[in-house]
Amino acid sequence: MLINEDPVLNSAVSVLGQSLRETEDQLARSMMEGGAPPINCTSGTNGDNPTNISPLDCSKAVRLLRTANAQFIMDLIEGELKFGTAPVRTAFFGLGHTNLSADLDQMVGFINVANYANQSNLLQSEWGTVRNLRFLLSSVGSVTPNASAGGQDVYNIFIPGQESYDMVDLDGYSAQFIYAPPEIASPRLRLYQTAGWKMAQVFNITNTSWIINLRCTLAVAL
Amino acid sequence: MSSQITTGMFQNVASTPFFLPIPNQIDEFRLLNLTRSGVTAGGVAGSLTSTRIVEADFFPRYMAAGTALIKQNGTVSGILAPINNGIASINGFTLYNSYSPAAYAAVAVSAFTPGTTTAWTTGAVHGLQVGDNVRVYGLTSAPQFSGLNMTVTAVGSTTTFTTLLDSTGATTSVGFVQKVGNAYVAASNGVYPANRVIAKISNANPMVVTTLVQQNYYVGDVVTFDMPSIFGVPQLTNSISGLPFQATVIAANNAVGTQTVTLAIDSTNFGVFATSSGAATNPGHWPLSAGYPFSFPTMVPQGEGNINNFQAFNVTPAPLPYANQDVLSFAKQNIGSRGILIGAGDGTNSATTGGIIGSTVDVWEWKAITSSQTYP
Repeated sequence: MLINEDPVLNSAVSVLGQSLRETEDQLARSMMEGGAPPINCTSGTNGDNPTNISPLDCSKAVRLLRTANAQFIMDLIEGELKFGTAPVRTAFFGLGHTNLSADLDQMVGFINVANYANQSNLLQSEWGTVRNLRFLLSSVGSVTPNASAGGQDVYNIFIPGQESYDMVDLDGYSAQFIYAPPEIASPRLRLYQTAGWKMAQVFNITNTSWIINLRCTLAVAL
Repeated sequence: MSSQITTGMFQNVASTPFFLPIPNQIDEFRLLNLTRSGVTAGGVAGSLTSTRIVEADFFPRYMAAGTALIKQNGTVSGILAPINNGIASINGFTLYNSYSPAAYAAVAVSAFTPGTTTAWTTGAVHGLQVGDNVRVYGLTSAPQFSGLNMTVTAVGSTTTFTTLLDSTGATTSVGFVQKVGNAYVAASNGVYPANRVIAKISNANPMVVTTLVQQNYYVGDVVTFDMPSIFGVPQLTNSISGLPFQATVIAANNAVGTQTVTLAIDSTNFGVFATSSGAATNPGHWPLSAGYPFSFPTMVPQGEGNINNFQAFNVTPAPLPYANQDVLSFAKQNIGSRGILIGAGDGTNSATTGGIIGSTVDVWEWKAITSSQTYP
């Protein structure tokens, strides 16, 4: 006799939702790999090309975007009377791989999200900020294997401004969760049910002046 | 349960690898060279030919990537040729997923010969073919080239190959080279069009840009530029005005070895490529090592414009009257695909120069088998 049955469908929905969003991330990532103008970090200290990320490289990237009139994504976070916190500048997002976290922690002037003056409206993937960049890290962030001058992996940090890329989806096809109860999935004996998702989307850079691929290598070995 | 068999026919380009997109799981792949077996098909006259691979098979579960089980004609006598059985150890079959391309082994570079094109010498057999994209790295005496991707434009021998890098003035170096793809198959990120690193820029009207990797751009495409200051052409950047510098392609030569894009720009009075105020200046050529590290100059696809106004460059609007109505061809397209890459070489199973596809235009029949069950 079944008692305390696990809510299997509920947990499947949760996992499928993550699968859908990570797939969207990967599609957007591949589009930016193919089209975002690349600049190398050159002010790091590891001797490679590109070098590891440095605050100056972040400033240069922001300068390029701002000169091209790219608009910031995030408003500033004002300073508050809280020990150990700091204000956060208006910022672009830097979309990178989770392997960058240690290098970011090492940067002079880096502020972890825990030290923001206000923690409201933070994204789970946000790692922290330096200069006018706030970094969102993901395990599906972009890495180009063995592509540096020294043969190390190159990490692509995409920095989009507002309206720099868009997403096109077919009408009614942006994302569909499809549940088939046992009567449909296995009508003969009604043994199992299915759940899944489908979508049809494409990402596209609308203005190459408003997005940058800041390429770097690691200083902190994996 | 049943197996699924997919068949088809294709005609190769001489000495060029062929990518066959097949999304199915491939458990067996079999290939017959109809032309070199004497069969007239697909508009190509059959010609029974000595010392040519006429059958090649691949079993991905058991065989190494890049190899093939082959049957090769012996010396033709009349209307028959004996069959030799063996293995092609290079340029055979490779299952290819454009989002997860095969990782190729690095080969040591023992030296390169600086010049307007660069001849690279490897310490071991490189196994490269014209059209392969390679990356050089770890060039200790010439770090300014390290990390560059380039298309192989000529293969001098089993240990030499040439690319369009203008390395004049550089110091030769040891290092490494690694195959990273091929000009004829989808890019590793599966997106078209892709950025291209610039090999050189002319000071002329119209301006001609040569790329290190074959680019597949076409007339009417619009590009912008990512031009670091060390390359000395500030006219192509937007770092002062904030306005993107856009240029329309009025001619493109996508042939491997030429790799040029002609743009509707008069660059006669622009800065000379790779001229800077520092010790890295090297007018007309790639910067010298003193500038290391730096970003690479890049041509960035922006979109597509119309070509109505380029009669001065002898570009006739087509189709008339508005021209270039296919305005989405240069938008980002996802061209990622799975399939099988059929290698090219001299059409034999030579361990140094071999490859399934040879120097002739042949018609091939192929069969891909997806097994629903395998034992044990």
